[in-house]
Formats: sequence, structure tokens, C-alpha cells
Amino acid sequence: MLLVLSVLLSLSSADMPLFLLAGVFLYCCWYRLLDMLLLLLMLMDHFLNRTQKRIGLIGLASGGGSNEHSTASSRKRWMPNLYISSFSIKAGMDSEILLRSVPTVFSSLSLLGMIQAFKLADQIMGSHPGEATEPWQLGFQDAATPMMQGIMDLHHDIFFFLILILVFVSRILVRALWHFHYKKNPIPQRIVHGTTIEILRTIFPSIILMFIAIPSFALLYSMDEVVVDPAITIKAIGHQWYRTYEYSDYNSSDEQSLTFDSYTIPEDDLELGQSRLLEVDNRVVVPAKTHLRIIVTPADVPHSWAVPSSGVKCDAVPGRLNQISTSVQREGVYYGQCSEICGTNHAFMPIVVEAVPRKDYGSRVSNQLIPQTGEA
Amino acid sequence: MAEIELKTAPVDFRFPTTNQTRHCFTRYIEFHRCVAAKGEEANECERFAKYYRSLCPGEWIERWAEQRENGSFPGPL
Repeated sequence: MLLVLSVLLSLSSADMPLFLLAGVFLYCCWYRLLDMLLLLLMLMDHFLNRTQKRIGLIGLASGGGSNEHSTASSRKRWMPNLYISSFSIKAGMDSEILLRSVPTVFSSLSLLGMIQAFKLADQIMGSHPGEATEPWQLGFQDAATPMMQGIMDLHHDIFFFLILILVFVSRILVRALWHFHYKKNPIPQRIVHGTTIEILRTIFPSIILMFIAIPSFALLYSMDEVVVDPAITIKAIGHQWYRTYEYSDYNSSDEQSLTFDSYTIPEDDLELGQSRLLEVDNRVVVPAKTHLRIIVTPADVPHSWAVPSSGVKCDAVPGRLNQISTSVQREGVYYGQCSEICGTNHAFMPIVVEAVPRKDYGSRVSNQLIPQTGEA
Repeated sequence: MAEIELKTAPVDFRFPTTNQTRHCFTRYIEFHRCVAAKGEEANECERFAKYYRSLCPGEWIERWAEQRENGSFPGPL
């Protein structure tokens, strides 16, 4: 029922994967909730009055059923056989109650913890209006390209299976540790072979792997594919330790080129609102909703050109031109950092991409071209 | 300058991979072969020039120009 509820909730919500995860977790652990309830009642009863008068409550809660428990004699009959979930807690035995409640309490606490963590993660991952990261951010930055959207969706899809497997394996592990304790169960069952379970535990993981692999490959190959002719080529050239950008589509000779260096803004020169170690003096201006080709290469040592919200991370290898094809879907400023250790100032050569409307791009570039051609 | 035309080197089926080094190099050679065949004034070579300028880093173009002058350019011209 919880699973159905969570699926319904997830359909109406933007944070579908999170609700789904919480739902699966609750579904796997719902009996722990029951355990917790019963245990609380029992402990309360135990500590409040040491007589066993009100233990009948547990009979009610555990679905013990009939009206029999109203009489003292019948209570004696069902009490020793009272089972709560997988752990047989026999009512009335003081030390045993405490001892056997440990795993239930722990798992209940961990369940509560997980729910809180989900809530927190939901809050944090919920929405980031800005393009840069926030302090203590856990989730992704907002996607600016279809590629990044694909990456995020794949991540959430895989996370579903991840939680499923995590819960399942932990449950098996904890149960095995508990039930096959050497004192409690000195001679475990000696089963060494089981065809059914072996077939099941081969086929199910294969199916899960298939469910992960197919969307993963689809995404991977769609990243490589360059179907549409790009409208612009931008060369991002890494140096120790700054970046040079070349816009050479509008050149009529080898010399003229819209080329500029992009240095990080030193900490002392930052203005209010600018991000430390992320802001640069000259941003890369690109038109939004346009197919871009970015040629990434360094002039000295390996660098990398990475912008998380556009789903791009491309190493710059000396003597080689790497091509990225991307298309920024909305106007904005996107930040990235060097992602290949390139020397002392590796941390001080950020990337800032500014996506502007297409018509503004034209005027920006021609404004920059006029003084350049005037000088030349 | 009025509205500029957004146009660049198209996708070349000979170079479908991420590595575009040879794309740049081939376009550079194509341009110079074209010039050698049709003469400096021929307009049809201009598009190859646009392609290689779009693809190749300025530094590489400078180096190759130097090498062509010295006769040490490492390609079939």
C-alpha cells in the first residue's frame, strides 16, 4: 500500500525519484514500523507497572484477534507464543525483552534517520535558482543542456536500483549476523546447494544490470553523436594558468581573430556577489539554443574544460583537438573549473560561460570584432 | 558591422570522432592544395580557409606557416 501511495505521490511531484526511493524503503521496512509500535507499547507497559495486566494491548496491536484476551486465564495461554515479526519476543521475560529489542530499535532508528535524510536531501536537491553551486549542496546543478538532463535522469534511475539493492543486502546481512550467532545457533543449517535460489540470484541481477545498461549506453552514444552542423566553433585553449578563447569563424585572414584571455579574478578584486575562484575577467559568450562546437586543446600541459550544468567535461590533451558538441538551452551564466591537475595554479583557472540570446550574440561579437579589425 | 552570419565548418563524415586533430590538419592541407592547383586568386579555396581557421588553433596555423616557409611542413602539400 505504501508503495502504491508513493508511486501516486511521485506522479504528482517533480521530485519523483526521491518519493519513489522513500516508498521502496518504506515498503521494504514497513514491518519494522510495526515492530517499533509494538515494542514501544511493551516497554511502556513494562516500565510503568511491572504487573502484566495491560499486556493485552499488544495482543490487540499484533492482530491477536479474538475477545479471549479479556480473561486472565486465556491471556496466559497466548502470551508465551506471542511473536512480533521475525523476532520472537516473549512477553514477560524482562532481560530478554531488552536484549531482543536491540535490533528492532536500531533498525527503527535507522529507518527514521533514512526518512529524515530523504527529507533533507529533497530540500537540498530541490531547486537551485542560481547556476553556481551553493554551500553544502548535495545534488546536481540545474541542467542547462539536454545532455545534462539525461545524465541527471540516468543518475536518478540508477539510484532507484542502488537503494533497492542496499536495503536488500543489508537486511540479509543483519539477519544472518543475528540469527546465526554462534551462541544462539551453534549448528547452522548445512545447505550447500539450491537450484532455485541459484537461478534466481543469477537472473535477477542480470535483469537489473540490463535495466541500468540500456539507458546508460543510449546516453553515452547520444553524447558522441554529432548529427547537426554546428553554427559556431569556439576554441578553448588551456594555458598554465589561464584560458584563451578563439572565435575564428568570421576571419578573412590568418591573423585576424577574435581571441581573448580569460583570467580568474583575484580575491581582493572581487565585487559583491561574485564567486571566489569562479569568476573570470572575460567570459565565453555563446548564443543560447544554438548548436556549438567547442574545440578543446591546451598549449602546454594537459588541462580540462568542464562545465557541470552543461554536462561537459573534456580533457585537453597537448597536440590533440577534442571536440564537444553542445547546445545551451537557456540564457545564463555557467561556472566550471579545471578538472585535470595542471600545475600550481590548477585551482585558479575557472571557466565561465555566458549564454545570451542569439540576437545579442551577434552584436556582442561584432562589437568586439570592430576594434580588432580597426587595429589590424 | 551588421548582423553576423552564424556559420562554421560543417560536420565531416570522415571525422566522426571526438578527436578532430586530423580534421583541422586535412582542411589546412586541402586549402593549400587548392591554392596550388587553382592559384591564389581562386575564390573556391576560400571556404577551406574558413574551415581550417575555425578548427585549428591560431598557434598551430602560425607554426605551420613558418614550417611551409622553411620547407619543413610535415604534410603533402
